[in-house]
Amino acid sequence: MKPWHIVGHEWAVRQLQTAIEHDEVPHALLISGPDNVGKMTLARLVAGALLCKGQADERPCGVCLACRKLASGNHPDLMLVEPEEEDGALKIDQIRAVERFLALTPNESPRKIALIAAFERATIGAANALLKTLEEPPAYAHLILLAQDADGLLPTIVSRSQQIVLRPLATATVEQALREQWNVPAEQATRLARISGGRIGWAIRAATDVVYHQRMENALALLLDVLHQDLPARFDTAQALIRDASVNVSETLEYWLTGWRDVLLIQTGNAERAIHQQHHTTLTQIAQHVPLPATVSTLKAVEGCQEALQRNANAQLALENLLLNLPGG
Amino acid sequence: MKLSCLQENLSKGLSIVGRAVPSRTTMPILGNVLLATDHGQLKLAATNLELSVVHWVGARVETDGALTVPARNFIDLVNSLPPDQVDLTMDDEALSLALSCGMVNARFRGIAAAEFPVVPEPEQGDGFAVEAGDLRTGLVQVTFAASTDESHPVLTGVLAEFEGSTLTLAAADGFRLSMRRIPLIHPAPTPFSVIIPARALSELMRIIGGQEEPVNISTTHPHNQILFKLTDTVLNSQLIDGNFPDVRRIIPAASRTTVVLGREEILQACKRAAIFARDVANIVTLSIQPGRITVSADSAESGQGSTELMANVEGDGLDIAFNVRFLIDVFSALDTPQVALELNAPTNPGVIKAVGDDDFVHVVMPMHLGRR
Repeated sequence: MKPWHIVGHEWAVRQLQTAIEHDEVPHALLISGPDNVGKMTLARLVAGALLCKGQADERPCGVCLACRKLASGNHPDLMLVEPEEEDGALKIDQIRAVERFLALTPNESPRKIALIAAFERATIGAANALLKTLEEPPAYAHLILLAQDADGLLPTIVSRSQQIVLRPLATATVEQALREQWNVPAEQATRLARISGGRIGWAIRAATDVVYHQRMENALALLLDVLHQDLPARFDTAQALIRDASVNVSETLEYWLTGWRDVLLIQTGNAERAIHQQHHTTLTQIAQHVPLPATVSTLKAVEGCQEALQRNANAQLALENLLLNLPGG
Repeated sequence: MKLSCLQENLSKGLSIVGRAVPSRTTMPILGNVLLATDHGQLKLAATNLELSVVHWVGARVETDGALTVPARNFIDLVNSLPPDQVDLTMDDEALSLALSCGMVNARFRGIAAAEFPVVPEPEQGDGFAVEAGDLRTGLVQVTFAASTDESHPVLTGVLAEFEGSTLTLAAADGFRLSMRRIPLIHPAPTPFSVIIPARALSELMRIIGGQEEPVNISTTHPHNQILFKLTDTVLNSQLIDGNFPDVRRIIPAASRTTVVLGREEILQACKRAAIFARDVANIVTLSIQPGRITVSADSAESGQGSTELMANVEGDGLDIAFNVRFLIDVFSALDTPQVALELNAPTNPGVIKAVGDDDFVHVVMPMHLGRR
């Protein structure tokens, strides 16, 4: 079969291509893996291959009418469902709509596909509503579920689907893809690949979207600023982070974590493995100022804050708590 | 594409297909209406993926072509035009459609017609014909009984069974069943059955209003969609996948009590009783005694009312309660002067038939009769 346009995940791709060649694609696929690792890209390829009308060994061909309709979001036999709001939940009404969609016979293709993203954010009611369709899908129906982690889903959902687990890519793979397919300069490719932690989608966005890249630089700059701030200023910073709509708090914390990780690496004599090489001077300064145990506890505090936010803690209180516990400059 | 047609015809055609345009959708193409030249006519089409409507408008076609344009804007503009000749010219390169009518000029940005979902058209000589009047009666008397609860997709549809020279329509929502036989003009060679979404049939009911010629019904292979071909319009619906419950089993074979009475009288009595039944879950009681039937509703809060009707009663008297909404639905849908109620016991389903019309049967579950 013609190679699919996706970076890495050779094993999963081979498995799915074989299933498609033998017309044995399971009615329910559960693709799990961290954010930005390529779940949606893979799911779209599977959907494309199932709906494509091109030559059997070239699906998805990208040029037939079905492929063009898929690309413009106009294919009548594919339904894409995701939470309506960013960070919002997947609601039961959306699952009911999927049920209705799959209950009706296909329009143009012999199959009908529902692609449900961020299924880990489905409410209990929504997940249960899907069970019935998962148990007895119509012969033409395919469900593709995407989730960060299968462990957080209802076991009844997981046991009824075939699971494909995507792991973060090797840094070298990301770096090579950035250089060869997105024409990113070598130095930047190396850096982004390191920061990405194998999440290719993130690396591509950071390489191509200036605003996105700027957000990371802002977060790192703030990390250094905060250390020099006194208590009242830190309260103000926490409030500003919450109020500013352009700042994604969980993303900011993610970047802080990479920054502090670098500090720890420098302190332990592994400076060459640090991610943010171009901030080397400032990070080294911090490494000299802050004692090693404080760095470790800071890393723990950032992680604790991330966890608290995931559990719906009050964002401002959690951030204030974190900022107050950061070492002084 | 370059053509001209009359504003009245275009406006009427758009009002027929426009109802299929979904109010909100994630697929941009569904917000558009398809305009295409077809054998010297202008073809209009819209779809919400569940049902699609195609309508042909008489036009003077100069060059052929096809394009989709945003439905809402196009329809609003056409409706606002004076009753005059409308000229439509398509720009293939820019995918835009220029409209001019009298002093009005407009340009719509479109999406390529190839992106529009495929709307099948009936093959010549395919399918079964039924008289428009028969089909209309069948739709009116059956569709209302379909469920609106999306958690049982099968029950939101109407079962259509083609067998011999009969089409049987049936709908059930767990509390009631409505079933009607309609004669086919030519018999079906092999029997088959499909489940049609009730929403599509409600739309068919609306556009079948003025139809006089027979309606042609056909399905695409392998029974994926059903097409209803009217004179200038084709309505096409996806089908619901699944097995319809065996509804014939729930029709009681015999009855201990049969009541025959005027349809209009019992309908009025039910509507009156419904006023008091509002507060008590729409429960009305039918008290059947020799020669008469009393329709009453009793609300502890607002009061009570009853109507006594003369009726031809055979068998034992009994008291039985029903949801008055269900009774009003079925009595309104019928058109015979007299109806028959066939009952067994207060806890058994009641059967409603139209006197002199053996092709219709309705079954309704009773409600619990709280003794006070």
